[in-house]
Amino acid sequence: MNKRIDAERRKRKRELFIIIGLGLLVFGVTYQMLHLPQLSSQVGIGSNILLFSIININLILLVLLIFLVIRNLVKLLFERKRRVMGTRLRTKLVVAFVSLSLVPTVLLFITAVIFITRSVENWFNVQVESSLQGSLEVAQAYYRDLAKNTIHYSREVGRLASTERGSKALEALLEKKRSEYNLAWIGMISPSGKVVVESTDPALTYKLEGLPQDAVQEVLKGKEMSKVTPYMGGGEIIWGGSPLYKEYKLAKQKKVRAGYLSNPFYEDYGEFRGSQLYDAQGIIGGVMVGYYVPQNLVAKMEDISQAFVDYRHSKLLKKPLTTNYIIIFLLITLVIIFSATWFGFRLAKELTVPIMELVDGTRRVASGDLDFHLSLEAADEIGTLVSAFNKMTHDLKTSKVQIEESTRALQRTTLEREQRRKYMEIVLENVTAGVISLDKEGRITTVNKSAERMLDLQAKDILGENYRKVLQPEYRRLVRELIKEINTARSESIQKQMEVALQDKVFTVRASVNILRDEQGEYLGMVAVFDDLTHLIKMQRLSAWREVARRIAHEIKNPLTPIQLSAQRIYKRYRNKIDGDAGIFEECTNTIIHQVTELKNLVNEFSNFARMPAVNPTPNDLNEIISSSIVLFKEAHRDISFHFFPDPALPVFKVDRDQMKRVFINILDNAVAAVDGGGVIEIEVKYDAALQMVTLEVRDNGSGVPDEDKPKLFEPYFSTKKSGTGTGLGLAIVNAIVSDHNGYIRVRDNHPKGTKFIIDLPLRQ
Amino acid sequence: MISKLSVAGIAIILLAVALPLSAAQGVEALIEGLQIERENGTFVVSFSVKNCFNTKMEEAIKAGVPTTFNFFVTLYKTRALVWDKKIASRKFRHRVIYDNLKQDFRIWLQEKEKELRVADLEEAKRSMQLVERFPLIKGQKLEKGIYELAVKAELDPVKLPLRLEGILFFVSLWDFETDWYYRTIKVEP
Repeated sequence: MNKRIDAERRKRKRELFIIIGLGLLVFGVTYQMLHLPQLSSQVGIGSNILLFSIININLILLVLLIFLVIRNLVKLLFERKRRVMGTRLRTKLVVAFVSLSLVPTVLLFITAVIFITRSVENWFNVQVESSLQGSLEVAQAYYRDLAKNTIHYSREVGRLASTERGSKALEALLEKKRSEYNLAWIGMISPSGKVVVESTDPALTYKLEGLPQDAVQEVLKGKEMSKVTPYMGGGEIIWGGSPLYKEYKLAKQKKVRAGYLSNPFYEDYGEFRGSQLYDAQGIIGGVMVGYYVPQNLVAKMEDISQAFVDYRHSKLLKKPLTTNYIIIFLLITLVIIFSATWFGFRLAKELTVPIMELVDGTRRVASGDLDFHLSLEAADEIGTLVSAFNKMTHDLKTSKVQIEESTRALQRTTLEREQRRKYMEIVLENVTAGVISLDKEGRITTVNKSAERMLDLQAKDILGENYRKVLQPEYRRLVRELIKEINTARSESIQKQMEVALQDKVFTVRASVNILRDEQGEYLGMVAVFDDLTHLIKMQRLSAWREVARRIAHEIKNPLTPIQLSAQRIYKRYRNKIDGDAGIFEECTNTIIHQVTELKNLVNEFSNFARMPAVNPTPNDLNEIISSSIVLFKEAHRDISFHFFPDPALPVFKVDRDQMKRVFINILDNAVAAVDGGGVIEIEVKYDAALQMVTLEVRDNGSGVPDEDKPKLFEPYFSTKKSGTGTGLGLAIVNAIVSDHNGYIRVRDNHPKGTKFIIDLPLRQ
Repeated sequence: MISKLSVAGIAIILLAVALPLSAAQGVEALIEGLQIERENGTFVVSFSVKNCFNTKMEEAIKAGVPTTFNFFVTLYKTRALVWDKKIASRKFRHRVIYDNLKQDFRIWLQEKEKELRVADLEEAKRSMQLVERFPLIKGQKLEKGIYELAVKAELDPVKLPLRLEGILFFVSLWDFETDWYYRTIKVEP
């Protein structure tokens, strides 16, 4: 992250330097361009090279700028397409900058173009051209006239010379005419090109540098010629020449030779004979005159000429010049527009990059990355915003750390509390004692499983309810008494054993009620612990009864045999000796013997009960055991309907067949006795595979068992049968056998009528 | 993606800048009648340049713009295995300027060191584009073998008043430059 930010910062610095450098370069180059044309008239070709270099650099810079702008534009377009964050703002800023710069720049450009075009038009207007043209034509006319004049003078001198004889006369003529015509020089030339006679203006400082030979040659060929040559002392000499003929005839009207030039200075024409010119035209020489044009005049005419030339040059360049200026203006316009666009990009970037960073940062902070730190450096409001964001992130992080620490501590506490609570709950759930707690308003706050089982209720139905609302009136009274007792005793706890009849069950419970107080001793409610003593008491009673039975059997059985034997002996010895009351004697002795036998049987029963053999479980089918037990009763009691509902799913399991058969026989015996001659007895087997438990129900529609007898039903020598018909040991034995099989027997009322014995037997002993 | 676009952008810009310059070129100038002859023991070269004048140039000349043609004449000795050897290389100029006052064209032929004054533009043009019997090299300096003559003509960069040619960098000025024209000659002993 930091590396990326550093790289970005370096890149920005580099870009800034490049921009400043380019800006300075463009400025310098433009400055040079503006000033160089003035220098160029003084400096040589080097300046041109420099100029071209500058122009090229300028072009390159412009191209670079265009490239940067186009690149940024294309980038912006692509980013807009990809919906990159911040592109909209950037687009708006760029458009705003371009619009703001475009309108004035374009207006300025148009104005400049119009101005330049009109200015150039004015420079090259017709008046300027015609005046320059006029001046030039004057100068040209001057030269032309001078040329004509010199030719005319030469011709005139030739004509006059034809009448003169001798060199002196000719020289005088030439001198006279030179002075008259204001010529610089007059001379007569022989056919060979030599100057024969001449007259020179003495005012000329420098000697004339010979005649223009090409013009002389032309003259000797018969042409009238004019030529301009420079004069060494400045200015020019305008030469004019015409040929001299052998015969010269002046005819004003006709331009034909008509006169004779009769040998003015040649003694003999013979040397011309054979010459084509001489033969054909009679040319015997030429006259040349020179007119001196002073330096200042020449310079002025040259100035006029140069001005015209310059004007024509410029006019020639009128269109290119206008185009050039327009292009320069266009370039400047483009530079301004592109610079504005680029500046727009720059500004947009300066604004959007921190905003994007902030957005990114906000997202990251929102997603939980509080280590995020913005490294943007700015001195403006963005910088303030960034530092505020960083401070916020830092504060958030600190707060988060503190909260996390608090949360961890809280979690630890909660966990510990929860573990403790769970442990307590587990303890509560697993204690055999039922636990019920009330808060200070009397609302039930805790009911453990044992309490649910014991009191046959669902915790969820009563939790949060007031005990007064939940409890039946008699129990409410009981609880109230307990509370009263606590209050009276001013004790924090109380224990009490009581019998609780719940629906068809009667429990013997020991209730312990404790007042709950907090650390400050404030009353929080109370907790009641119920210990189910029913089974314990039952087992204690069973054990006690067994001991009693054993002792009775021992104490009673011993004298019974002698009593029986004595009675039998008395009967045998004295039956024949007693007369009269023999019947009484026999009846009494038989009664003794019979009762002793009965007593013996009773004692044997007791003895059997006391000395119940150890259980010998072997794999057996309980359905079959029950079925075989029922068969006996079905035969004996045809008036009673026996219904057996075996459970085919019940597997074979280890059970003592004989003892279990005895259990069923005893129970069925009781049931038969209960229905008293007619009724229905149902035996149902239910197997719970999950609990590995088999439940047997023996239901009859007999007279039923009163609730107060139910706790004693499985005690020895308790019978509801008529006296003499039961030993009171049947159900005690059943209970003993079931207990030996780790099972449990209970009695319930059968609805709508009768009794129901329920035996729960575990399959695994 | 961006880099490809950048390259394309630069190419378009450069093309846009370069196109008007190339489009401004006129009909191509060429050299005709290139001959090399041995004359009095000297190899002389003759040729003429065609399509070297256009209307703009003629207007410029008439307006007094001095116009100069540069001629390059080079002779190589052809060699089989290595590059050709330069035997002679000459450069000379033809310059024309119109005299407004005297209303004639002054033509300076550098190779002949001669100035002509002609009143007619066509004549001036003929003189400017014609090179006659330019003495290149003495015959005795050449060994036996195959030689190649190369000739080229170009317009000297036009000088405008106030160095406007430097300012008018966007404007297409009249200009020409021929290709090199070759003629092979065989020198016998």
